[in-house]
Amino acid sequence: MRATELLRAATRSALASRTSSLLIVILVAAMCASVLATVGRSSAAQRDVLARWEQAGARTLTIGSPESSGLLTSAALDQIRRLSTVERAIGTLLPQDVTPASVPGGPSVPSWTLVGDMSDAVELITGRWPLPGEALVSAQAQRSLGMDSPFGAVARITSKTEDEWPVVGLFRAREPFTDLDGGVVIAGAPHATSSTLQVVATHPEAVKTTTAAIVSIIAPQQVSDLALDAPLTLAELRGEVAGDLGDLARLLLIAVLALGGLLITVVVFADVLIRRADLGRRRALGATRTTIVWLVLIRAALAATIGVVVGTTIGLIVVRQMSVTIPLDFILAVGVLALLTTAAATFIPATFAATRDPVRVLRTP
Amino acid sequence: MLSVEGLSFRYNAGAEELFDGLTHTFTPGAVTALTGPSGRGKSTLLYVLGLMLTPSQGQVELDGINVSALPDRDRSRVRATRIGFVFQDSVLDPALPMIESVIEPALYAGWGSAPARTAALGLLERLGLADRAHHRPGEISGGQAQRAAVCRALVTDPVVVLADEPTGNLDRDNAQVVLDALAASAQTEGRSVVIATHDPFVIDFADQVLTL
Repeated sequence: MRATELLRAATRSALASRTSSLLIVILVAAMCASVLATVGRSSAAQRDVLARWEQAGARTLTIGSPESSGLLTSAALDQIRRLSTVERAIGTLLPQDVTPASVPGGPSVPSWTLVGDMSDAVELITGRWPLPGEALVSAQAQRSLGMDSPFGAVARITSKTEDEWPVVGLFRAREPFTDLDGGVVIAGAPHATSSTLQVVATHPEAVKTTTAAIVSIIAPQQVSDLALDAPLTLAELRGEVAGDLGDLARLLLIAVLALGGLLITVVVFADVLIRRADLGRRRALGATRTTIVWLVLIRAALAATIGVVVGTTIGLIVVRQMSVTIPLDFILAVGVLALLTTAAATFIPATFAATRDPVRVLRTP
Repeated sequence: MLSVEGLSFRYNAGAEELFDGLTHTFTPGAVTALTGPSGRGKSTLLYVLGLMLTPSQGQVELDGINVSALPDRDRSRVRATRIGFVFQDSVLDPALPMIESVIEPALYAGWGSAPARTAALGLLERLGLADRAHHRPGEISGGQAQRAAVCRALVTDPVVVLADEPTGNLDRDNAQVVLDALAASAQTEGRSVVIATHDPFVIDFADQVLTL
């Protein structure tokens, strides 16, 4: 039988057995909608949780050492920045309060001297990147200092003429250095030694290896020379949570598909029994067993396709009410899985239908 | 040419053996009435000839080929292309217009829809059913339905037509129309027409009688 004729015959047959077709539509629609509303939702939630975990704050290491120890050198900082597991790194000196240079004793804000590439910690909004000894001011600090524009100069409170820094622009701090938004950042001398290094790893799982690499680069003679704060537990917890959420989603998906598949098998089996005269007639008139199997499979697949469209629409409406966005590839995967489940669930009754003896149903007593 | 040689059949191991090694050749261009008392296997012989049942002994030959020994797929193919069936109660799909039922064997034989419809319309016209081609079985009489079943049996231009009590549910006039159509197809196309029946009217009508 030609494929087009087979498709036409299956369509007619699906329309003729409205009850079973409708039941398959409902079952597949329920399958898709429930998968999207449960697994899809938990999957999206899992992605959100993991995305939050991926934020820079969860993968930042802080290494502290007194400037006098001379451990956190600019050379060590350069080496650390070049590690493949390091996204960004910046060195800082101890913060000090500054006031507008034109208003000695005026309002004060904290200032940080940054060592290394300042763009790792802040974004330039207006003005230019400062040279060593020049500064940038944040919008908040600009207001606190009463500056009309992000240009001018700031001075240390225990004012001496050499402790004055020209302000050459406005900055905004990058994650996770948002504390800097409260003050002024000063470009440090190229070879300055830092009191603190802040290192952002490329991903949470890299924190552990990065920590080990940093310790070997700095190579302190005594452990007490170095204070290290790394979110190692957080990275491990992230892995465990991701695993648990993934397992739960998979279990839920398998349960929904298995139940849906079982019910579809029952419906198609009942339909095959009801329509045994129809299938027997087809066999008597020359339909091969393969034709009968395809006929039953395509008939169910046509109904399932409508079910996928209906169920996906309902599922998406439901998850939209929950303010959850499910990615397109997940939606498509659910549709394909529903169709494959229908095909698998239909195969046994289809084979049963194809192997029935046509004579039994055709004989009139 | 359809023939059987040493044919026996039993439904299962403990059941009575039917046909007792029957050997017979069904004459092309003739109507053969298959008759005998109830339980002697008239309908069963038709289904064996139609390759829906496999003989326990002997063989069914079509143009010298032992078609009863073919694999199921090939037997289905032979049924679709070379054998036409007329069942006792027409067995038309109640959901389909008559023309769609008539073209069914042609579709299983691999024909396209268009040539199958052309052939079906020609047959429906010959049997006076052209104006009923798009009616469903529920909208036509029993006689018309059985004539449509004859059209379905002839649509692939088979060499053999097997009919199981085709007039069993019809009045005399309609029975005459159906028998005339089958006889005409035998005489003009040289087909072997085999009718299982216990109706004396059909037995009298037939060219040959095979009593089981």
